[in-house]
Amino acid sequence: MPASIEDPGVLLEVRNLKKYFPIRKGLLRKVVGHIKAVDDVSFEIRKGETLGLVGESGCGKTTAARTAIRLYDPTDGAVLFRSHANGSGDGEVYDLATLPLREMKPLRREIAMVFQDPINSLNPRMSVSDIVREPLRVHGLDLGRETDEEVQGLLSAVGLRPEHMERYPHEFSGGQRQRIGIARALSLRPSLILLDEPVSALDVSIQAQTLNLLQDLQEEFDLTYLFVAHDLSVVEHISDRVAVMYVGRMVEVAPKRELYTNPRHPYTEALLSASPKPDPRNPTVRIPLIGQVPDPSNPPSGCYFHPRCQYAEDICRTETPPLMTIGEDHASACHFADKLELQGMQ
Amino acid sequence: MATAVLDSEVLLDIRDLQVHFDVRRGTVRALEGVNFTIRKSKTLGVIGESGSGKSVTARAIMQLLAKNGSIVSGEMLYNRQRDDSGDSELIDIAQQPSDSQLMRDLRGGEIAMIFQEPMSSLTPVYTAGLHIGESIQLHLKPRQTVGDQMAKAIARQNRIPREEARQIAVEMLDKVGIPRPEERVVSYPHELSGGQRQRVMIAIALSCGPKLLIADEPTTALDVTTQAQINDLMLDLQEEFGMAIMYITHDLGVIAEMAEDIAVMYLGRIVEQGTTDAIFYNPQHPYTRALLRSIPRIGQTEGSRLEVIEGMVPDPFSIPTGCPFNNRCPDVMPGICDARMPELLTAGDGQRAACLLHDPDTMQEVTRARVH
Repeated sequence: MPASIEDPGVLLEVRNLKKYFPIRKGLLRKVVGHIKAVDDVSFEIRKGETLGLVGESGCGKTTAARTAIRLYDPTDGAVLFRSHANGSGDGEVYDLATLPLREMKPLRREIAMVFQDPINSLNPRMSVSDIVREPLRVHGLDLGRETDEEVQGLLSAVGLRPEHMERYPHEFSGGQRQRIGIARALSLRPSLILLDEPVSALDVSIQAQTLNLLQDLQEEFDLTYLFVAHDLSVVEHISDRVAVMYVGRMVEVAPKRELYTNPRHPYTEALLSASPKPDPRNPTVRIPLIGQVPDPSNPPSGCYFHPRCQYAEDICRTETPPLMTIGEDHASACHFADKLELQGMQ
Repeated sequence: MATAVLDSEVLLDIRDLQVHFDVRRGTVRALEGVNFTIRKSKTLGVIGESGSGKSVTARAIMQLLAKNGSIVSGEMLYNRQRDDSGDSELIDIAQQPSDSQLMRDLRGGEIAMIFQEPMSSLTPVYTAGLHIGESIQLHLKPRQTVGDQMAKAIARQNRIPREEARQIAVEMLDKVGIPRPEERVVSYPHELSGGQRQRVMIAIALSCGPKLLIADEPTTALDVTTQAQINDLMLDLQEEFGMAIMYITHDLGVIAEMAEDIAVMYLGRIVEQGTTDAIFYNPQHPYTRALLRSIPRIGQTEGSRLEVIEGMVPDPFSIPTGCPFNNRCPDVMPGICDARMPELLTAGDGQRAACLLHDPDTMQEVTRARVH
């Protein structure tokens, strides 16, 4: 059984989360339909772990993650977050989905975000010091001089030097800018950080440095990560567990080793086989994936993956499979999860 | 004309190519002696981080450098096969003016190019604007149907009437795996997915039967599943048409699947070139080794840290003296690597590496110095 928020080791539990964006047409901007960007997604994140969230572009992984930290108001569902703000043992649980925004603000100190594009997410007219202390200022915690030391400490934690404090974003390389973004995310000492494609804009050698830094910081500051990315090898490297999304739905969740070697959903199998392997002597045998990702405003009947699935049968065209627990800590949304022999990566 | 002789298996031989750009702060030496060969009907993978000169090399081969860029020295010997007589002639592309009739014939005719899919932007690995615009149609225009754009390009390249070109356009769309091509020729680019747009670009590039296809990060903006489809398509078409491919990427996984040969670039130089197997299993240059160790590999990274290359790629105005990699190299020999420029020398499994560790004269000196 998947853990729930009743377990004090669980930091965030997302239950049946939905986020629909209206499609408006005509003079009166009448709502003619909905894009179901996130459609009935449930997952939990345990304290101190990294949950990787993967899928193709448009699958809703970013929307799911942002809705889970209330950057978007959910259409439906619950987001249960365990706050440790009062310092008392197991903390208190809040439903971020329904909390009035005023009561949300103190909780935001415990949740931070790092963005994909390090240049567009830093204000070019603010110095590094101002950028890193802005969250403190917003929460009324900027104490002037005293905070300078704090900022210096944060910068050195991410591998920048004190003399960088008064410089501006354009003076830094892509990798350094991402470090500034990480220092800003750390400034309020959050417990949960949403990392949305944090290394995909970086060069190979800088990517490795940044991934190592994220791992070091996780240990040092006792952080929990929700790591959204499309690169399966990066996700495998950093995550403890991995969740796969397809057209707004969660199709499989499992501990990373289990998911990569023993996938139980045909989409995960196809995704793994499409991932290029840096080994010319052992190329992967590709599972052909026919056609396109369906339009989320007009998804197919039954299982959303059935038009592209080589194992599809009649039931797949009519009935939508729920995400079912199929093994210890392993869930899959496939009618034939128990019967199929799928190929993983060795 | 060049007097050098090429092996008949070689299609393009780049020798000591230097390209400089004039900018306000001075001269950027974008390419500082690039050497590599592309074999007929084979794929050469070019890998390197941003700023290494991969794309500049590609644009130099097309004679499509920006106005402030110039080929300072070097040769680009192209082995041109005359289809009618079977004879071949050697053309030094470096000597051909960009707007010459010969260059116009080669460009888009014998040498075609595709770019990173421009309309989607999943991975902004690239600084924008670098490869958009220019004198030939490099990207799909949003306001014309796919068929019109293809017919125009094909008619120009093959010097045939537009109507005939339209027929070829439909055939090519079918070849690159676009379903219902007769309907698709009247679609606008925004009606196609990113993968389909890249297929259209490949169709245009291949419509005149090029001998060399330059693919500059063609799948970087695409999802892994679409990337796999496009790369498989390119391999199939290579088998069918027999063209050579110069495949530029920063993705070591993609290159392992696509290329027979690999050239590794760092700061405007080739630091190592060899067969894909030699590069992956017996790399000789410390940069290649470090690059291979720094990427996460599925199944091999349990609980481990990635090995990193210290520091970052220097900016073009502060390139270190001697070997350009010496300030980040784990095997650096102080006093030697920062004083001498290594040449590309044979090493390992027949590949060539530009590292003083493979220079017998230098190593003899080092040994002698140690003894004394």
